[in-house]
Amino acid sequence: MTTEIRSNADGLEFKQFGKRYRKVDGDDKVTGQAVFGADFTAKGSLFAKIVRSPYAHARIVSIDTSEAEAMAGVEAVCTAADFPSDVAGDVDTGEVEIGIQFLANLIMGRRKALFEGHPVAAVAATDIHIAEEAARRIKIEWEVLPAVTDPIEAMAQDAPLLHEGLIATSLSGSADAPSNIAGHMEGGKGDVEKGFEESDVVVERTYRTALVHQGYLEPEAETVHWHADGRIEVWANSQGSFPLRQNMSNLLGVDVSKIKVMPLEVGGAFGAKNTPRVTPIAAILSQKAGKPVKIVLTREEVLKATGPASGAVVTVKMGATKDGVLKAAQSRLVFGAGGFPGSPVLRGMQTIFACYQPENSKVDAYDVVTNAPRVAAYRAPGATVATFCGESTLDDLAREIGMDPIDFRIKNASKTGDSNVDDEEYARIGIVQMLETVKASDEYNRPVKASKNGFPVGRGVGIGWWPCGIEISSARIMVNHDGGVDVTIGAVDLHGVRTGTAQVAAETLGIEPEEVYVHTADTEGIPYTGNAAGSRITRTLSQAVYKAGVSVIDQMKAKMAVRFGVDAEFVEYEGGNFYARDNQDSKVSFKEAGSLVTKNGSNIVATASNDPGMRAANGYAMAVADVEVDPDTGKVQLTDFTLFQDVGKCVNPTQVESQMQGGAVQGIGWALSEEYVYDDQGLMRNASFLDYRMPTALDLPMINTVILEEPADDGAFGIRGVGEPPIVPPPAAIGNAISDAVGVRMGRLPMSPERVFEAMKDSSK
Amino acid sequence: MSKKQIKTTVNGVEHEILVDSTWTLLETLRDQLKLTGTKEGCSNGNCGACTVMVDGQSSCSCLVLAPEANGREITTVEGLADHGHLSPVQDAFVENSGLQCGFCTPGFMIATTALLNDNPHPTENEIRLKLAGNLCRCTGYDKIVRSVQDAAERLNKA
Repeated sequence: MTTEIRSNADGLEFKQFGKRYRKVDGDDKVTGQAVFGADFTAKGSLFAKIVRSPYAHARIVSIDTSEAEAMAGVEAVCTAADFPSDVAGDVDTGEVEIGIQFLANLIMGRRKALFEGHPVAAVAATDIHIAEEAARRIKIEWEVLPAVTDPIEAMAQDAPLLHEGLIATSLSGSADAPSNIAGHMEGGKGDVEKGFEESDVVVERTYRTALVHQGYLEPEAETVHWHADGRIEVWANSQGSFPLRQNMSNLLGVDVSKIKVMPLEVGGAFGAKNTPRVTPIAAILSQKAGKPVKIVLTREEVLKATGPASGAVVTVKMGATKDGVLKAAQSRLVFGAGGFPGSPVLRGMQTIFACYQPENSKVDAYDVVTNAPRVAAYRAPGATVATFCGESTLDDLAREIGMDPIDFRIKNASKTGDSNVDDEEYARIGIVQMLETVKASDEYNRPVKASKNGFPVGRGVGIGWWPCGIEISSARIMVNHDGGVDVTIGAVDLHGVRTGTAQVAAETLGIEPEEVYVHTADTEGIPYTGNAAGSRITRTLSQAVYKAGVSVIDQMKAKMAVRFGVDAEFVEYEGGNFYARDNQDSKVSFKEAGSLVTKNGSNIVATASNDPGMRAANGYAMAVADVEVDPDTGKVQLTDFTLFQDVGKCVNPTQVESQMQGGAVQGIGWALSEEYVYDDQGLMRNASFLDYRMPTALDLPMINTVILEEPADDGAFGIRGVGEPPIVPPPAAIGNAISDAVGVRMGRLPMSPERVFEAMKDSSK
Repeated sequence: MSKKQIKTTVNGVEHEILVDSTWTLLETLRDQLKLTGTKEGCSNGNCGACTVMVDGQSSCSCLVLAPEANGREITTVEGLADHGHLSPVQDAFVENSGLQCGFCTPGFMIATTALLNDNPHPTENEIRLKLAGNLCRCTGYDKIVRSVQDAAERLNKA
């Protein structure tokens, strides 16, 4: 099945939207011409290797770099002592935040290593093999400390303390003594105890989920050249050139204007490449050596020391009346942050009940540090775990009151103008419309196909919410002397931004996408643009392109007025032609006009950014999953899968489907096979793609998609964010499908064969 | 570290290269011949981003030592297009959007070309089985499988 678009788009009709325009960066990528971080080597570059802690928790007694420094070919060695010790200002690491001092200590460990793989030194040499050998010759004396990787164990009073001065803060003030609890956040409304008393049925469950990695195929790879005159050039592997420039400025104490960030192609990021990991290290080594320095991580380094997403322990309690009124919903979310505070638990809190309006609600969220890699954003950070826990509990509740799970959801669904546990009021949303669409769909109503193996089969649904980000995006449109159009953007193109932007510019200018060339500029080439994160780029950038496009048309009208011999207000632009209002025969195409008015040194250029007051367009997606479960092994095979998503207005169905399918499959991996495995020393036992098991082509069916269009309130075209919501509902839908198939409620992620087998065994006792 | 002179044909061009016996074919292609189309995603044969053809067989170039390439014919992603014209496999992937970030794509280009050379009429399951050694984190494989099906159709028509 291919995608259908089921639109409720209020007559928002666009000529260039809904077209499967060919991916503009495709040819360079299928021929191997596209330049990624590791493909770029600056002239005279050195190659660096990072020295990392072999322990999950250890004090650095001493570091002796002398033997490494004496090696032929070694040109610079650095430790935390070479970095500014006093850093200030904000850092922008996307949707998962971190304080600047913590970030500095994450990038290069000072005094203590807080997770296995924590950087503590680095070497730059003329050859990577020399750098690797020199890294081995750096002698570090360690005092190994007890480690804790489980967030609940880390909360205990007698747990090993990661940060001696970490005092938990909450609404009720600060804690008395240091602990591994960095923060306690609360939200909700009404009185949940009263709500549970009024309920006919109350369901309470506790869930536990493993750390998972973003799993981008391209390891972090960057080059930095700190010139003698103080300028810094960065060939970046980042989701945001401008935030990286700001972060580098604050971390290194260098003016923003002295730093130039040049984005290269990014081989997948999914939130993790908002956090600078190697750039500051390459910068310090470059400053010391006076030459460009390139750092490329290995897969083992990526898994042990970048990413991941939080592991969590979540308790959910929900109560409803027999006629399906959700009287109360309560949750306690504990998220592991890794070595430094700042897990996305707040996002978990915001999303867990976001699709519903329980009469009473209470959410407690705990951010806990553990001896695991410090977490980074991962596609709708916090929402996937929270939704698995919320939707699993809700499904059981619906079954217990004897109501169809979708009817129960519709009855309690959030609508435009409702608010969330954090009191944020929703702009236009179509949750009810989505639920009704799914309820009426063939995907939900047809019988689940019988298993060829004779295994039990089942179907489950889950709906997930993600608020999506906003921030600033900028674009410049320039008309060339032949009437062709260049569009310059500041957004890093992770998955299709250039293609979509060509369509948006063509739509705005009344021309064809083939006449538009879109390219991503460095930080000197365009005003500020935020991270390519939060599903925000197409929504915000389309408004910037629209504003620039309107200005371009106005400028061209003014110049054509002179040619037509009329005032500018009498020049029309329609159907791709300029003409004087009183003379229909005066028609001049955009291309001809562009060529005419840019001759003789005259130019047509417009730069614009989206409105800073633009509101987030909430995103939501719903999954229908069919599974069969092998009763002898517990292996769950996904046999059919459909994702429904409201994208507001679809620019390019192919690119939208791609986002939906890719996000869904990351969610499927999270559901069934992906997890960090730690031993009791806090060491990761599966740091390879063989043992950290992401889905392969063989594990999956085709991923069906249904695009819904309920236009968003602000913005030029009603566009919502697309990238993040698809990852949110799959684990919930698959858990509910397993429950449907074998009557077992899975309380763990991943729902691996062993866990499902054990759960089935326990339930048959 | 001992050096060895090897003679190898890469994308139809014969090269004589002085290689270190510890170098992999992958780093020889990328660092010595500057053919950076072939990617390094894991360096232990688990991801398939470094897939090249060695005498027509799809192989992880991170698991082949440079001296082993002596006397072999290597095809990398740079060798698939003909004078700037995309091969049917390449064009089918762009047309069907069988890629997003593009990092795993060179490996899929080679693995698909080798697959269709061996089996011009693969079933969906055969495609999924043969490409299971190539990881993609962006697409969920749906559009990759469809791209391969489209490429097979184009090649069979040609």
